[in-house]
Amino acid sequence: MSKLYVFGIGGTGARVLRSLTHLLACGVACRDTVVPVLIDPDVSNGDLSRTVTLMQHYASVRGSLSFGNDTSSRFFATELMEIGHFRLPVQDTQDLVFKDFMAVDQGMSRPSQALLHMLFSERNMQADMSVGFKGNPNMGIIVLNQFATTPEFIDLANIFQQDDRVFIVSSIFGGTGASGFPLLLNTLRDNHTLPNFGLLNEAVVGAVSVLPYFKVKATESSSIESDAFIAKTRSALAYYDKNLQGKLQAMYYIGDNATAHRSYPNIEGGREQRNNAHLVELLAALAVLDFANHDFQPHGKTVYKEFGMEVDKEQTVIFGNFAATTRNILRRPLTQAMLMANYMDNVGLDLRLAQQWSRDNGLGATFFAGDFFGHLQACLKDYVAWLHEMEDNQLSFAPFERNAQDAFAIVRGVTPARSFLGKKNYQLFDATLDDVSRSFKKRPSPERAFMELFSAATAKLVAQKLKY
Amino acid sequence: MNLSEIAGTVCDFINRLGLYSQPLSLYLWGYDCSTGEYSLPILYNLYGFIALVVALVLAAIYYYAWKPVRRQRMWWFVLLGANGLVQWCVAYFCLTARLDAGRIGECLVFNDSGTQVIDRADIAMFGVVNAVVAMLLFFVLSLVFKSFSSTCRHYPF
Repeated sequence: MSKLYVFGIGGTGARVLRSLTHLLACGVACRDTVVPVLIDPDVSNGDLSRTVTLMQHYASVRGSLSFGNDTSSRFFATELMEIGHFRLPVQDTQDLVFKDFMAVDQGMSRPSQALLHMLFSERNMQADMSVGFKGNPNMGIIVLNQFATTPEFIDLANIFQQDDRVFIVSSIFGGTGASGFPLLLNTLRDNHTLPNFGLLNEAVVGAVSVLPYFKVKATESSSIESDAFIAKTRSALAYYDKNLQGKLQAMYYIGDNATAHRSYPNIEGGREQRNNAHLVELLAALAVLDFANHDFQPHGKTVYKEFGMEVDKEQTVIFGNFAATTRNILRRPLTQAMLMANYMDNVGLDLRLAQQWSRDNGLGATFFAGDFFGHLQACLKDYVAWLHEMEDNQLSFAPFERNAQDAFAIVRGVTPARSFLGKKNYQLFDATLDDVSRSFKKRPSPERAFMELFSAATAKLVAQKLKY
Repeated sequence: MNLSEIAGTVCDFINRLGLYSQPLSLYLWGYDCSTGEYSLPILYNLYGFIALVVALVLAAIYYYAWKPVRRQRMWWFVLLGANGLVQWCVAYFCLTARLDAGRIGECLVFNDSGTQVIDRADIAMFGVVNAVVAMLLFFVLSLVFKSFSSTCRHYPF
């Protein structure tokens, strides 16, 4: 199977990859094996750490499953290939200010020093790079230039094959993303020293550039100012227009009018930079999947795509607000995953162990205390947190009710079908799991059985109760 | 032993404990005081048949219609008990109605010294035996039915 290398650059890249991981975990279709690569000098960045942890849990779950012709479950169907712990390290940025990185005071000629002082402010020169470039792409472009020589990037280039493709995720208004995207693209296109450079130079490449979609509170101590986002966006777009023409086959843009929305705390980086998930990041992840599931000509004209929705700034977005194409991609997989997550939260271990589906498939106490289930629970927990964060954000995306009394009355805007006779609520869920278990012709491994059971049962219940 | 004697033989076996009287047993085997022969219908068969049908219906309901997914073992025991109770009631009320209507021969109801042997208490004890047989039937049917159940294959064990 061909691979799609998805580079997530900076904090926005990490958050979009978090959304992508959740979509893949829910079973949203992706044609390729995904190779996520996060690039960020801020090694302790909260968003980055959270995404890497999630991807490691995903890979652990996926590693215990197999997908053949007889597999109907799409949960975790896409493989996430791990290279270098999903990260490309950026060297020589820890405990170093920008000036020392460039060795300004270490034997540099006076004319060169003068030139640099013209190009970079004193604040830039003294900037601590261990938390990234703090909205300064002019710094990022210098520091990130080294990644093509790192052993990890060379390993990546080594395994690149014919028909593999590349997708780059970045923000246009930050520091790391805005500088990293054109740098990476130029490296892929113009570098002739990398292994497989011929394949890389000719590879089909796509990118999503995330325009401003939030603002940060104005703080004197921080060098990040949301007032500058639009100006930075404008200048970056001008640069892309001039310098990136013809270098990629698909360019996606997504953003939101940030002025009307809530401000995030102004954290320059580090462990505390952990913004709540936003609908824009989910939609950017859909751009990755759109690219993965469509063909683009290697030397074809760049295709530009945008995402549009008609919503008021105070509105809460639900599935019904999307056009049919997007709704069909998202609604069923996310609902199935939500049902599974809610089942785990609401049906205790004792009850699960008493069910026939559990006993017949070797899903006893040992299974539920084991590593596979632990990793799965971690994914589900982050999935629910991700949804809650998007709901609490502005623009709010809240497709599910948080405290529904009925197991199936969870989708906003959809009333579940009622039946007066027969089982209800989680008893119906268990009965459906039992029916699915009975239909197994051959007993698979416990891990595979578990995913097949919940995939088939939730699909049946969504069709039966929610009618989609 | 032929098929028509199974129910009676099982009850008689249990009645080795002396739970109900011999004259009642003779009546249930079809003894007619007026002819001195076993010419009346064997009531053991009637009550055995009723017990079988009720046990079958309850087991089928439990394993194939109701299919409980909560407290499965508890509900199985509830049905077991309900089955027994129903069979006790069937035996007790049917036989006491016959006793009150004089349909049980006096040669069986009273012994040689004129003491009433077949009375309500005696019939009640037969009801207990009938209930035990019914519960055994329910248990055996459960072992067969549970194999094909989608939710209760592991109940009662």
